[in-house]
Amino acid sequence: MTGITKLALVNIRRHKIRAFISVAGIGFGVAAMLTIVSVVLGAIGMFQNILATESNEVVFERNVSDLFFSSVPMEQIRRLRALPEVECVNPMLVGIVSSKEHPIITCFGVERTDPRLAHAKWISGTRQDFTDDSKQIFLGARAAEFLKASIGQRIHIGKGEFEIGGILRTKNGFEDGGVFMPLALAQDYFHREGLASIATIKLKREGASASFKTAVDRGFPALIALDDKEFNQSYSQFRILKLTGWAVGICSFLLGGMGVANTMLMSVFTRIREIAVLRVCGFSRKQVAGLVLGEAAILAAAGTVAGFVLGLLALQALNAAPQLQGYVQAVVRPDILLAITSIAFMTAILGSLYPAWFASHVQPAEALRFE
Amino acid sequence: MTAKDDIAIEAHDLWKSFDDGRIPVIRGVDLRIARGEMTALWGTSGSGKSTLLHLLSGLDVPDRGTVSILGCDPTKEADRLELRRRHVGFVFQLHNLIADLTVEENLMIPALACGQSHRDAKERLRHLAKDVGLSHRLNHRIQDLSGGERQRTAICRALINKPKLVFADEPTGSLDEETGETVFQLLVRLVAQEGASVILATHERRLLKSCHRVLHIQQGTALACEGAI
Repeated sequence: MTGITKLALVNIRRHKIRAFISVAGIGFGVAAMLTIVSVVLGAIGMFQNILATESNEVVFERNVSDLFFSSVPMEQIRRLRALPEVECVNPMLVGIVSSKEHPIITCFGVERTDPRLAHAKWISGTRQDFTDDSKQIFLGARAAEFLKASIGQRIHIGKGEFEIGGILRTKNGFEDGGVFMPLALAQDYFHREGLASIATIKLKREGASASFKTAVDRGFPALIALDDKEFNQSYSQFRILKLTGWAVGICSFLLGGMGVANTMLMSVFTRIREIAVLRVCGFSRKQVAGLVLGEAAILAAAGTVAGFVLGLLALQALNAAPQLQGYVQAVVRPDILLAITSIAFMTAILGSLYPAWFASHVQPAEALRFE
Repeated sequence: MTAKDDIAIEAHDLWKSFDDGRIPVIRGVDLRIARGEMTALWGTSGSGKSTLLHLLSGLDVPDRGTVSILGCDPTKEADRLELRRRHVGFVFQLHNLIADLTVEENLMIPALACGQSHRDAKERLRHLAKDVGLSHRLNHRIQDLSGGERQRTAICRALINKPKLVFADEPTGSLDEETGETVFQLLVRLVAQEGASVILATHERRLLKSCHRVLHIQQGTALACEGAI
């Protein structure tokens, strides 16, 4: 351990409560940011997976702010299927329903050939039970848990009462906490006859994306086709979610940064004599500033570690919370951890710039004048 | 006339006041201090001796006048840093050690500042600690030491980088007479051993007998320049 680090640690040890408050400030910032950003990214990821299951393109109504409000007529779905680039088209009607004690349950109206059904693990019933004219609904495994429902049972979903035809487990939290129903039943239930919200398209070959989009532009002026990557980048809801996540996180960091600034200022003010002695012993202004910034960096490091532990525990708790219906599938990515660590250190260092400047300009004679 | 190379400190027309000039403390001091000398700035409390010591050591800057320390200009940060790191040591009345560090860690601070090798610095501090009878206290914190031991540690810290000049501001002021005498004699012996000059600010007449020169400071002026008394 270098001498300067040791001096920094000595000072932190000297004011344990003050240091703890700073570490807690940074820690809460880190935890908040990690939790919010991971949950948001997880939610976006889940949504993207729903759209990208065995497909290359998403087609939806042009200029809608949210896919829930998109309408793609079934007649146009049939025309899309006829395009030469297209291998298959899977229409989906998305709606929100509620049941007693569960205000939000996502409902997916799909056809029996939908790849989401094929990829699911059927816990009760079989895929063959899901027919296009069935009046039964099929619950995601998590939804079955929180609704305490089993196959054959009749349950109230929104204003309707349905028989459960099967229970399936998927890897996607939204799907797992939602309800699948035949597309025709969903159209009837949501009063959107002849409509789907979106269509996911599998092309015969990946290179056909450009010609497919041109065909949609020309033949379907009310629709827009985007490949999965374009959709993820351009969908405004994703951007708003991401921005909100980072903004809330950064706000909590600002509070943490003020805590560090306060701690470092107090730390400098209470040991002006000591800093003067260091200057008298040959410490340069840079070394004194480095000492203060080093202390801030140590606080930031401790706060970051504490924040990660706290954040991961919070994510685990959110994941396990029955009230959230499995909708939280946090995504903790190394680049996010790196970004949060950088912001934590930047906040601590920025908060310490003035204290460091102040410390490096302490006049020894003035500080030592009154013995 | 002292040859230029023999001059440790040269001050010309030094003036210093506080409170925006309302409290004049040093008024037009001119002096030269030769290398290897032990010089006392002697005067009563408030006479300006500590302020003069601060000006002569580069700890403070004069309102007017110039100071040259070993040919360096202490008003320049680079010169000041070089002086403090290599050529100058300080002993204060209240030792000014870092209480939460051990004796050894305190003694390492000047070495740390100038980037001296850890091994050399440790060797040097052990030698000095042995010389002042602090070997058994190296791993003890300052708060666990007696006043005399603290001041002995401060003397070691001042000498750790083998300075050419040691500035001592009332080094025995916070000690009882007997301990003060022991510590002062230790300082005298060590600086003689190291071949350093000492500029001592004191109000204690009994310390003057060990000095080569005494400058009597009264109301901010060096009134008399005496030889050893």
